[in-house]
Order: sequence, then C-alpha cells, then structure tokens
Amino acid sequence: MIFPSYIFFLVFLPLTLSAWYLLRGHTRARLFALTLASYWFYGSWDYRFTLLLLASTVLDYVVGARIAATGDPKLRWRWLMVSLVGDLGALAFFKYYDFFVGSAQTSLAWLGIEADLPLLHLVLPLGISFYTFQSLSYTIDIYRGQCRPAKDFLHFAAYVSMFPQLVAGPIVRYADVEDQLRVSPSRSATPDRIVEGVWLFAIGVAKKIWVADTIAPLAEACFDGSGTPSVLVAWTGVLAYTFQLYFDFSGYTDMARGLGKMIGFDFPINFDSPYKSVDISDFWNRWHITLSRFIRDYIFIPLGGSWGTRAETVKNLIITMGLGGLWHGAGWTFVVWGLYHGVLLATNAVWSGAGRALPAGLGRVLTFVAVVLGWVIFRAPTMDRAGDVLVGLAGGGGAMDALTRTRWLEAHGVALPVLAAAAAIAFFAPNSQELPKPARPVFGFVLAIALLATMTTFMKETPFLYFQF
Amino acid sequence: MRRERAFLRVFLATWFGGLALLLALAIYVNPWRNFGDVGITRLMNSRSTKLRYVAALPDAELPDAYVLGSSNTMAYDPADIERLLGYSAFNFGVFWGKSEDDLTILSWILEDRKATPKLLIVGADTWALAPAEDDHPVFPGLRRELLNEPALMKHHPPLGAWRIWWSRIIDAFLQGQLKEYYRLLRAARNGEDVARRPSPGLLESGIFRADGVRVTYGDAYGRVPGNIYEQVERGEFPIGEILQEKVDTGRTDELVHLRTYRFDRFLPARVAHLEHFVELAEAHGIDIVFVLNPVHPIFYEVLKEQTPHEANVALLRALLERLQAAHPNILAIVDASRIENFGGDPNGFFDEIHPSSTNTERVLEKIAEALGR
Repeated sequence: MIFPSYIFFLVFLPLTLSAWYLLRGHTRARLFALTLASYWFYGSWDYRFTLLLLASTVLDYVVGARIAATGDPKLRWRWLMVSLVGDLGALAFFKYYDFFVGSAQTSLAWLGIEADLPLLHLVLPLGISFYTFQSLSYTIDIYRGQCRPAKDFLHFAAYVSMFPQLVAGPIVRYADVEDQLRVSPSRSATPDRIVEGVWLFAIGVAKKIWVADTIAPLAEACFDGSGTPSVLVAWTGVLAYTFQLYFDFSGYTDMARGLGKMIGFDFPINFDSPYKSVDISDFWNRWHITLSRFIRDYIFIPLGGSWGTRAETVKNLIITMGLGGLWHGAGWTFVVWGLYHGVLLATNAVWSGAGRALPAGLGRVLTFVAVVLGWVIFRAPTMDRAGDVLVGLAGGGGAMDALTRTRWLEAHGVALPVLAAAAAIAFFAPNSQELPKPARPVFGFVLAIALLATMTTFMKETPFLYFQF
Repeated sequence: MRRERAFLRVFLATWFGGLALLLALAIYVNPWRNFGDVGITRLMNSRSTKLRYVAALPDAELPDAYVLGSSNTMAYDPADIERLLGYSAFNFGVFWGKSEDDLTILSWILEDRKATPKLLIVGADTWALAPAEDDHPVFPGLRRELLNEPALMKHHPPLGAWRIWWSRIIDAFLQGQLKEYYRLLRAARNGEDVARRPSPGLLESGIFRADGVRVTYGDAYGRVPGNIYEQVERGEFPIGEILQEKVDTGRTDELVHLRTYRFDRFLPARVAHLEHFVELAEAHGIDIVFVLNPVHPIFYEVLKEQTPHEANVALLRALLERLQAAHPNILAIVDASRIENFGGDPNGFFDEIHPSSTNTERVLEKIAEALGR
C-alpha cells in the first residue's frame, strides 16, 4: 500500500482518521489505534515484515529501559552494544548479506580461488534502513543522556511504527515527538494544522503523480537501455532522474508530514530546495536533512568530526559519506556515489577552510552539476552503465538521426515540458513548507476536486524511489 | 479557526460527494456489468454471448468439437472442421482468452451444460500464460468479461468475495472507465441505442456468426474504414505492405500488439490452469489439439528482434510436450507458430496476429494429419 493508491485513499486513511478522531480524549486508545493501523499499513506489503518491526521495537524498548535504569557505565555500554548488534545485525543480514558474500566470492575468484558461497536472495523488508536508524537513535540518545526513555511500550511502538514516516522517513528522533506523544492529540490536531496537513499531502501527491512519475520514462530510456546513449537522451535522462528523485522523495516527505499534521504530529522537514545550494555542504544541509543529521551525529562526530587536523576531517568525511552511500543500497554504485560525495565535501572543507569562496551564482551552478553527475552513478544499475551514460553526456554517443529523434520526441512529448517545469520549480519556486496554505472554503472545494481527478490515474501503483533503500 | 473549519467541511463534502457521484455514474452507465444488469450495458461480452448461445442450444444440436482460445482462434470455421475432421463444431474463442478461460469454459460445458465434447482445438498463445497486463487494477490480466460472467467465474479458482467487490468499486474510479462512461453517455444523448439492455446476443452483436466465427474486424491502422472481413478473406487487404512500411520507417512501436509479447516468463497460476484443463479433459475422455498460434511473418521478425518471443514459444512448446508426455492418449500438438510450418499465406491475416480462415483452414489440415484423418 502506497499513499497514492485506492486502498490508502478510500479505506486506510478514512478508517484511520475516523478512529483517531472518534477516540478523542482517549490518548492511549488513540495511540493503540495508530499503532495497529501502522502495522496494517506495513503488513500490507508482507505480513512477515511486521514481525521484524516488532522485534526491533521490543529490543530497543527493553534496551532503552535498561540503559536508563543503570548508572554503571560498563553496563550501559553493554546494553547499547546489544541494541547496535541487534539492529545493525538485522540490517546487515537482510540488506547486505548477499552483497558482501557476492563481493567476497568475486574477490576470491579474482585471486584464483573458487568458492561456492551460499547466496540467500532475501527479500529486503521495506523501510528497514529507515526504522532501524530511527529505533537505534533512541537507544543511543538515551545512552548519551539526550532523551528520556519512552513512557511505556505503547508510546515507543507508536513512535517506531508511525505509518506516515515508517517506510521512507523523515527519520524522526524520539526527542522530536516525545512531547507530541504525551500531549493529548485532541489538543494538537487543530483545524489549522489539519488544513495545513491536507495541503501538504496534496502537494506531495501532485509532486509524485504529476511530476516524478511523468518524467520517469525519460530517465528509464537513458539508464535502462544499452550502449552509449546519444547526447540528447543522456542529458534529458540524467536531468529527468535528477528532478524525478527530488520530486518523488520530497513528494513522499510532504505527504508524510501532511499526514502527520492531520493526526497532530510535526515531523521535521527533509528538503529545503536542495538544488538552490551554493556549495556541496549546503546541499547536504538541504537534501534528506534527517539522514544528514543522523550520519553527522552518529557517524561523523563520533569519528572525530572536524575537530582534528584537516587530513583527519577529510578522512572522516569520506568514511562517513561512504557509509552513507552504503546505507542507500547494497551495491558498489552506492558506495562509489557516497565516496564521490565524501571527496566533494572534503574538497569543499579544504577550500572554505582556506578562506576561499565562490560567487553564489557560480557556486550554485557548480554544485548542481556535481550533484547531477553523482546521480548518474547513483541511478545506474552498474558502474559500466554509469560509464556509458557519462560518455553519453560528453557527446560520445553522438547525435540522434532525424527519424529516431522524431520518434523520441513523439514518445516523450508530454514529459519534456513537465521536465522544464520541474526544473523551474526546483530552482525558483518556494519550498512546500514555505507555500501559503489558503484556508478559504473555495480552496477546499478545488483541492478535493484536484485530488479526486488525480485519484482516477491510480491504475498502477508506482512505488516511491526511496522505498528500495 | 472558523475559516479552517469551513474549509474542512467543504473539502470533506466535495470529496465524499465526488466519490458518491462517480460511483453513481459507474452504476448508471455500467459498461462492463460490474454492477449486474443495471445501467447502460451495451458493451458486448464475448464470453457471455457465446455461453448463452450454447446454453440455449437443444441437446441434439450441441457440437462434437469446440475451438477455444483467444481472438486469434476466432477464424476457425466449424464447416472446415466438419469437412476435415468429421465433427460438428462451435467456435468458442473469446477476446483475450487465457488459460483460465479455457478451464472455466470447459468446466461449464461439462458441469453446467452437461455435455461431453469429443474434441477441443485450443489456440495456444504464449501471452495467455503471461503474468499480467495492466488491464485490471486488482486482478492484473484478468479480463472484466470473465470477472463479470458468473456462470464462468463459479469455475474459476476463488478470488475472494471481498477482493472482487473491492475491484468493482475501484474500477469505477479509473480514468479509462470515466472516458468510457462519457463516450456511452454521449452516444445515448445522440440517440444511439445504448438504452438499458443486457449484452447483445451472438447474432445481434453483429460481430459473430451463429457458429461463433468472428466476421467483423476493423483496420487497426485506419487505412480502410469499416469492416475489413470480406476484403481480408478475399486476400485483398494489404496487411504485408502496412507492416513492412512500419518496419522500414522504424515505427515498429506502432504495431498495436507488440506490447502484448513483452514478457519473459509464465505465471505459475496460469500454467496450473492449463494443467488442470488437460486433466479435466482426460478425465472425460476428450481429445485436445493444441495449436501454437501463428503471427504474421513480418511481425515475427519484429518480435524476434525486440521481444523474447522465440524463447517464449520454445517454453510453451516444451510445456505442451511435457503435458503430452503425461497425457499421451488425448493430446496432440500442432506447431503453427511460423507460417512456414503449415504453408500459411502472408495475406491471410487481419492484422499482425489475427489469421483469416485461409490460414486456419491450412492449420486444420495439419490437425487432420496429426489426428490421422
């Protein structure tokens, strides 16, 4: 079940919201209903996944309580290790087992050693990277004394499983929502907040359906083909993916934040016009902000952050971003993409550390180009394909002949103006959270009609790109 | 806060009012009989139409043989079958027929019509076993014609009453359906005969003859207006020229059936339907001839280049041979996947995949050979 689907629009959301508002004044019953709905939402992909979610929740709830209950630093550390091994072990097993074993096999073969290591071909539980990080942040924050343990298991289970942000973020820390879980939701889900939620949700749906899904075929034509693409296919494909990813993921985040507001929760923003960034550091402060914050606080700073020598900072940045790349997927393209961004951040750190700065306009263009080139590695199924596309961008695939160009233009006639509009919005328009959310009743009418019209296009459910991570 | 409350009231009223309106429209127009016999039910259901015709036949007139399969089998002429094989026959080919159609039709003939034919000629299309097309939002690949024919659905493996109910509701909201509602409503306003009546009978449909053969074909490429049936049957339709022009100008993606062949595996459930179908026939002592359906030779080359068609044909042939090995007494296979195999005529096609009776007659000669007639 994805947000833009019939089952979500017509059954899940009406039932969940009805239960939420009917149970006004019964905070625990509401949290129970929310948790139940969230497990239904998650189990709709595969009911077995819910067992993993429950196991992770129980583990971190117990560990959090144990850490908080003892003042013995050694014991606290041991309990933290239980959480780290449990959560990261599950993540490593389900997400990375085949990747590591396959890579080991390839390396051994390269050394002339034939090894028949077993691959498990496990189905990746949806959203495991997100809720594992979220759940893990709870035990680490308690260990660090940065948050209190959950009031009870229901509070914690509701926090981990909350359906709006369960499968693709924003990654919410317990401290972000602790008070919101404790406060009676009847006081937090106010009409103005619900109106804002409805608007945000509708903006997210529009971003996903009318922009991301419309330009996706341009990206597919470039990345899923074979041989070196022509310069036109390469550039439109790469730019299409650049904006598809942004509108898809930020659309999802808008929907998640909108749904959160409908039930009285404020989730942190995840995107802040990232393609307006003036340097690569600025980009990571605007793109997938909750992940950036997570890897900064839980990987970069523990490694030493930028307090050491310049060389140490460079090393820490590259390690952090390499791991960040690996978080996105079990494949070398993601690792290389992460390392690429690590190098960009390190270069930027050295450059700005020397007191140099580029004019904002030039910085913006260079940052955008660097990010776009990174997306080529990120999107390509293999490094070889990434190479083909990069050669295509440089003109190595030549130009299309007239007939092929005519056919290509006919096939993508709708997507090209949408791509241009997407670029204009990303570069010049305000962010979703900055847009006005008019509350005049006539807009309620217009919004409902627009959502109904959009709903008639839900023939095929296209999962969000970040679901695969 | 008052303004926000008013906004939410208007939003919710419009949302639920809009949903109710769309649902009411779907029930009023009801082109696929999703909601039973109400509304403007004009669209012809080949499964219902043929089933009702056979249901109404006196027992003495029930045929010895049936042709099953998709529209690719609709040109098999029962008169040719009688002449070449000595059996009276009825063409029960249905639009987009798949293995579940063969199974449910045979089950209906045996259990409800209480008849036991002697021979089934089954046109086997590779795509009839493919996972899905994007046709139905809840049951991909399952045709609405089958879903809304209760007499056949009762023989289909259970899909769950709630899922069927849900599928009908959301089907009502699809953009494609809304366009269909609009088209039918406009036709009704223009005085066309779309008033409340059930799906037309076999002869009233204007599409089939009394023996089930299809006699109405539109030109898929819009060169010739109206029905091209006679023209094709006389070998005067330039199908080869049309297809060759598409190939020569690089416009092969305009070949309307190309997308159907883009798959690389069979759906286990559909293979199971086929196995069940053969078992059922054997249990009643019915002979089966599977015919690997032909496509136009120019289209074959396009499929070979752009799809896994050759591999899929090999996969289908292997599957049928496995079934033949398991049921040697009742099952024969005729590989007509290439027209060279049966001396076919490239002009004997209505489009790239639908053979005319010129070709089906030649296939029937091969069937006669296979059956030792």
